[in-house]
Amino acid sequence: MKQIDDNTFSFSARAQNKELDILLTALDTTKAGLVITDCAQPDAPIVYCNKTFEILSGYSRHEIIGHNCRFLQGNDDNTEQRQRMKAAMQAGESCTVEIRNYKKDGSLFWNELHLEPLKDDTGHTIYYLGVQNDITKTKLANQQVRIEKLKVEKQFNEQQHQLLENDSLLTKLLETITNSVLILTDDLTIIKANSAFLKTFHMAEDEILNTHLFAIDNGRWDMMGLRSLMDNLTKKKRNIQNYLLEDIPTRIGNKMLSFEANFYVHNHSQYIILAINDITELREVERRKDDFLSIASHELKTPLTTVTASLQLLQRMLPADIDEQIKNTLNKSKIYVDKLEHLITDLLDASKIKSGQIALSKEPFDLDILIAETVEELGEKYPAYALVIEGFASNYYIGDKRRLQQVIFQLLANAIKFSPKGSTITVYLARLSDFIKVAISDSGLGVAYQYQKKIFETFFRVDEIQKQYPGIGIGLYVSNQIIKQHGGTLWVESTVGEGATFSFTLPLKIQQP
Amino acid sequence: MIKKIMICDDDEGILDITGLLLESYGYQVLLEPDSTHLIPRISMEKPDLLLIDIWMPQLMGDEIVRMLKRDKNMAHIPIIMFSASRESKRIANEAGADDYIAKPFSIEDLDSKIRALG
Repeated sequence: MKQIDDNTFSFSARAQNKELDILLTALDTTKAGLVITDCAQPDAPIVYCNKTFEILSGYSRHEIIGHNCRFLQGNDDNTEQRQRMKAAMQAGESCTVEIRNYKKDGSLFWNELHLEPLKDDTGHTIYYLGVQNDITKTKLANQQVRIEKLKVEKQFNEQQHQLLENDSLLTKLLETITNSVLILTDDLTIIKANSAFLKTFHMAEDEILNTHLFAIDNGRWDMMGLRSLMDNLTKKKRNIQNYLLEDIPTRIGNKMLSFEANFYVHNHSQYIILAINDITELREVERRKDDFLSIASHELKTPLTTVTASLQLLQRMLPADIDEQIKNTLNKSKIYVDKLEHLITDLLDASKIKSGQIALSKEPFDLDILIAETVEELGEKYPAYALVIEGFASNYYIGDKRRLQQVIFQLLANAIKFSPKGSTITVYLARLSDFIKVAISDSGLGVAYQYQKKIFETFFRVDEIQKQYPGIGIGLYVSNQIIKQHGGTLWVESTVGEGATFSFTLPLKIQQP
Repeated sequence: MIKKIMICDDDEGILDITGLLLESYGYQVLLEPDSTHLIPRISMEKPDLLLIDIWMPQLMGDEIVRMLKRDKNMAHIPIIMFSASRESKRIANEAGADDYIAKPFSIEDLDSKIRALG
């Protein structure tokens, strides 16, 4: 017979060698989630958890053992409760807290957590036992009571009640959409938060209902950016769209949020509808793509340098009486390597533009001559096409000469690429009030109406065209950005099968930013 | 008049070919793939010009340029930096290089830059 505890319990002889199994089974069948953490190890890892804890948290045992208990907290700070637990653990005392925790699937549950120190003979804490009870149901019931109470109380007047009735179309709509939405009175008191908001920002309805916007989450939303947004909104009575705020400290971490705000008038009262989108991940993906482009460009250019230099060397080493075929082959290689280099430069340009790093170096130059030279160069390269210039634009324009040449080159090269051999491509130059206009007309494939805006986006390619005319879809994007940076606009007009006209305007006066 | 050019680049392909190209233009060429050996070699060989990469392991090109431009015995040596990455022109400028050329380069452009410094 083995004495487990002198005072309270002893196993019969039949249970010999099974004592621990019996106790563990007993622990697995309790209604409370149990964990034991080892205080002697760094960061007090969990060394034991019972079955109930696995069910409670949604994690399986192998995902739990070795972690510190804080993995249940997500990014929620639970400041007050955490401080109480910390103080108790430092003193080696027990304590009970109600804390917001998150299951593996991200859903919130209210955890009534009791911490009990397990001590050795000398009184040193060796383990902490955590007893966890999911009290979400009770909490929610209490919350509902409080919400109902709030509604009855003076702050919730009849109108608001009407507006936010549970089965109203508005409420149904708010619960259907995935955007986070708050409805505020004109003094910025929250009267409604949809479940997307509560879920996204890990908040409970009773925490924020009837609270001032800047008071929620211990005043964490009280920020310059958000204050100026609300100021603008309430003073100027103007709807606001796509207002971006970076680094907002929410319970789910620092986030980049996009705000839309609208006014709504109902029975002579004004309400503010605030829609919030978390665009942190979207931005992160964009940033990574830009980093990738920039690194890839550099890594591609390094070996290309050796190839280019080798070809240049071969061209120099060729004896004068060399076979024409060898000479041509070598020249062709050089042309295609140059093409490859242009392509990589375009990629780099696109990534530079995206990250706002492209800097224009402006100088005065003769735009008409620049265009004439570019047209001549392409005309020599593609003798099967007739390139014609009509009119004049400007002999004194201040801008980035190299970049603008890049645009004209791109537009002409596109016109040639998509037009039948033997056709004419016309460059119309004009001066319209204090703008200059350049239009390049071809009689090629044309651009269908639904693509006329999309073709200026990065990596956009018209599917049907991709098969016949390969490309990576960067040229027009870069061109558009260059024209935009000069204060101008670039657009296309076209009917499928009847050719396309790509035009851009540039202001002659330097615009004040 | 520039005759002797020291080239430093950790990419040996670029190093060899650039050397051969410049030789075909009649220059005497010295090659150094390891940037940590460069400064002692320069003080020994006394080249008329240095062509140096920026991104190299252990010792970056712009650090070397700064050191050379501070050394009263070597500050007079003209330096051209070359690189394939963005921001390079600014880095070369700030380090105090006399000129910069982007990779890949055309030998004619490089030659005219060298002549301009001669």
